Amino acid sequence: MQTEKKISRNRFFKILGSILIFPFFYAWISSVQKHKKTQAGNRELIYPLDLSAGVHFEDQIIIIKETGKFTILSSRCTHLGCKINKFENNQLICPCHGSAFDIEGSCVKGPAGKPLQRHSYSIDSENRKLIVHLS
Amino acid sequence: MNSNNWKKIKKIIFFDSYGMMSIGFFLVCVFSGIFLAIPYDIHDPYSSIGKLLIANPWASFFRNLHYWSAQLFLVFIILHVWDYLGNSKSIKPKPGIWFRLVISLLFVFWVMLSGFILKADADSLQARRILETLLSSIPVFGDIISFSVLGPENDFQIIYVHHIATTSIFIAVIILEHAHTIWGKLKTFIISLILISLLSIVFQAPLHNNLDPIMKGPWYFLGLQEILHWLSHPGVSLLLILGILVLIYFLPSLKTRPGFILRKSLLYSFYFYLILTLIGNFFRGEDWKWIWPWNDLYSIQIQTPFNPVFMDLYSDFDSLNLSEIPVILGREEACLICHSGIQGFSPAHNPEAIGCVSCHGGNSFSLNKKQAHKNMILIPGNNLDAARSCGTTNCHPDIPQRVKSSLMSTLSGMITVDRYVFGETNSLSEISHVHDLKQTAADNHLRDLCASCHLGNSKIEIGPVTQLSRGGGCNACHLNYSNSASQAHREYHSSGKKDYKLTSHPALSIDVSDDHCFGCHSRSGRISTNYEGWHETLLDEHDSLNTPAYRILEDHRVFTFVEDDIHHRKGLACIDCHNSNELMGDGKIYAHKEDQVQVACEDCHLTEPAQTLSPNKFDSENRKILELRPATEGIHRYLTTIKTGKTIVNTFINKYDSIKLTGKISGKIHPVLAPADVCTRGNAHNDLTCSACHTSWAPRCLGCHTDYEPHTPGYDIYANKFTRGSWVEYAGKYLAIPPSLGVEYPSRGKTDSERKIKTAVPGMIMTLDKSSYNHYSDPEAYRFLRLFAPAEAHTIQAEGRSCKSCHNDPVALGYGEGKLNFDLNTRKWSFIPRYQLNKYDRLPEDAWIGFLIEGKGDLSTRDNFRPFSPEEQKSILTVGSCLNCHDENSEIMMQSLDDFQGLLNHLSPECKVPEWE
Repeated sequence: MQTEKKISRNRFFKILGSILIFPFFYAWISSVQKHKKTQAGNRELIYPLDLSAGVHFEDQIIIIKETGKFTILSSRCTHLGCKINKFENNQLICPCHGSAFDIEGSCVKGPAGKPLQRHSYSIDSENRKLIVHLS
Repeated sequence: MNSNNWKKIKKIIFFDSYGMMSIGFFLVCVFSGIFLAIPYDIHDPYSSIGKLLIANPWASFFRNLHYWSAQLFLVFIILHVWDYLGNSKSIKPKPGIWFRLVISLLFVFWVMLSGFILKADADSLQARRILETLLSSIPVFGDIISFSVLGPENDFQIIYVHHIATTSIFIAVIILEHAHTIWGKLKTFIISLILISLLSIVFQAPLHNNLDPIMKGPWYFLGLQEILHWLSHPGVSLLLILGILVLIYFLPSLKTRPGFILRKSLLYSFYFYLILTLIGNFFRGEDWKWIWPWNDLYSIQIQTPFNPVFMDLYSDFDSLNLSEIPVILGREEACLICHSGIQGFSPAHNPEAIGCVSCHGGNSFSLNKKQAHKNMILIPGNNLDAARSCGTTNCHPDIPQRVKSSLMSTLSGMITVDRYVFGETNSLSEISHVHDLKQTAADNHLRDLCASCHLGNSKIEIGPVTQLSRGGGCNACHLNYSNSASQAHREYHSSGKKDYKLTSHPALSIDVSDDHCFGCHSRSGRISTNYEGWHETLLDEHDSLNTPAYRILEDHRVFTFVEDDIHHRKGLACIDCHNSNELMGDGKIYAHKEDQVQVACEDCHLTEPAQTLSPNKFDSENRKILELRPATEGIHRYLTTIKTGKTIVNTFINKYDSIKLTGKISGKIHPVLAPADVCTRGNAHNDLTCSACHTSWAPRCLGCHTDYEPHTPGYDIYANKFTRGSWVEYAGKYLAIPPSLGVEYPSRGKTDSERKIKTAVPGMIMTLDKSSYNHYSDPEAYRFLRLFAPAEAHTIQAEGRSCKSCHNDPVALGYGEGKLNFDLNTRKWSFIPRYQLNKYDRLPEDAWIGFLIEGKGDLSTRDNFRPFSPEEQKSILTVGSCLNCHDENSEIMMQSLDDFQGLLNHLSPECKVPEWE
């Protein structure tokens, strides 16, 4: 004789709830990803080509102009993402924990260990513009 | 105190249980938040908070209520959790409820942190970036979680929703489930409200001014910030937090022994975190560097909200239109509401461009005078605070550090030579710093007589730079008072300094007049006075001196006119030659001034083809200077210094290939002449510096004496305090005659190829009496010193000194004044000194070396500078013997410049050259 296996209502809903987590997660991830796509802003930043030589701190990037050459670095410290906003003794310094980078972006003092992200750029000679491509 | 008394006090402080008190604070926080939400603008949060701080005192009060109730809510939640976990006999909760309670701790921290982020100041934006990085580091779902929690960058909507709804509702539900009430007790709520109201009236919730370089998270996370500072992989901290939550979750279900160990571990971890929190709050300054309380910068760098300033809730701001509050660099600048219409600024420093707070600090978010002026820097630009005023990121970030490293801040050469003279160092190349002065004989000598002339000496009183001014950081050179600013300054003093509204502000500009240099540089080498042609005398100011030939300085010294420098006569200022990179330093630390000086005569008076740069290759500093002083002629290329390759921003080659120099202050364009043919003819004088020939005179002093007078009241001009006992100098005699010459090896090699002949003056020919200096037990207490110093006197003339003035001159050769004679019969040179022989070294009083004798012992104030050797003296005097008969402009003497040895090999029978023994 086969015994009928009973399941309590409470347990049934617990199992159902646990199973529903997966479609919920899918819905959450999918909605965020789709929203992010619609929010994807301009991935190019434009600056005047005639910037004076030296270090310029912008919101997302640091522009370093030397003789005839640009270096575009991310302003995000590779330690915790703080905005780097200081140039002292030829080093870029993060205000949160004092990590330091040289003007090529290489880390010269911790706690950060990785170099700053570099961005590519192009030059619009006709309109005298520097176009930075955010990756 | 007995236990009963303690219980009574505890009952007053903790007027209810920790849990119920935290409910009281939570309710105050929620209600105040509702009222704070009215003026808060999610689209412009920082500005909306700035506006309410300035002109909406009741809204500001609600903000303070919200802030302080939140802080106390967190503190009492922690106490409540601690109380529960610390008691092993606590009731064991149901697993589901306990799980939600543990999770709610995360929500408590998130509601706190989201509140911190929502003020959208510099601290908040950094905290947001840190949180984003940490959340994104979670494997697989990191980016999704980060975006869901924080939303897009520069958008506060999701954070705001989480703050006012998600977290608040969750916490309210947890409170209801856990405490079975959401209202708590009325008594507790009322007491909480009164307590927080009092706190809110006295202590303001913080808002970063977006200028201060110190970035810190909320106080309760500074322990975490300290931990993160140690971690190269900060994602580990998330595991740490997760681990603590898991431990807390399992703690009630553990048996006695493991539970005890875990409780103890958590207890010690908590104490450890508490210590880290204290470190983060009170011992971490700019760039998270450690700072001790006795550091001069401590009070500037370590700020807490516990600065009592009573709120003025009934200020009348009705007449003020909020839209009229000036916004400077994205920051509400209330200062300009009271201090409007002030004139006199240079364009770059106009408050309409940079505000007041950029330089003066203080609180731009208050119209309350006391609050607005709290921590204000009355005189910005001193080395002490230059990094926080002139040197902030958007202004001149790299300069304060350079200036601090420069010789005008360190005084390295002056200190090293002084210590060498006193026998307190063996090396003349040692690098010293005025901040390291100790209480020794040498250092006290400087403290008594010299140590006020450094840029780190803070300017503490407003007013123009005068001959008596010393130091002042950036102000020392860049502070300029116009007539109206000087008038306003006088009115300020005559008004009793109270409630005086300034109408004319001094300008800070790159026009550094010679007067700025004069105070310090009219002493020691006296290059400022030399340059203008003035020579110091021993006359008294009360002597009858009402003739243009005399000048009395503000420090009462009397000068007489000799001859000014040709560049001064033509209208050139000090800064027309000495550039910013040299004067403010290049970031390197030098031992002596000649190491830091970059310009040379040959940079402009070219002897080689010009090395030039076009403006598009300038560095940012010279570019900025060029923008401020645009060139007026058709310019193609600018000259550079031979030593460093740096641009000389006011000297250029115009379209006609002529070299011109623009006066930086006068704007006048000067032709720059090439050196005369004789300067570069042949190879006889290759090692002569320009100034060796073109310096017309240099100040010399003879027969000085220095001793310590233990009973004379003194004044330590470095520490600015009175002392008992002082070093005193007694001058002997001042002379203004052409300088002596010596040999320098610029890069400290000793090869003849790098030998340079430079001008020298007696650095000191003096007796030093240390016997009376207290606590000094030196067997050589009484010392005689004869040290010459390399010196550029800055008394250049277009026409160089004659050949005879070197080759036949005893002062130039180092013998001192006297009769130097060549006997044609005996072919011998002889020298009869003018001054008596000194009893210590048997040399004439003004000599550097003896006649045809090798100098021995300590000879100069540099280890790469010496007098002429006997062989060099003989070579010079051999030419001198020729000059006895031949005119210096004769063809034969001109030929001697090309090949003197060749001429010596073919002497005519009449020629009498010296016979050396």
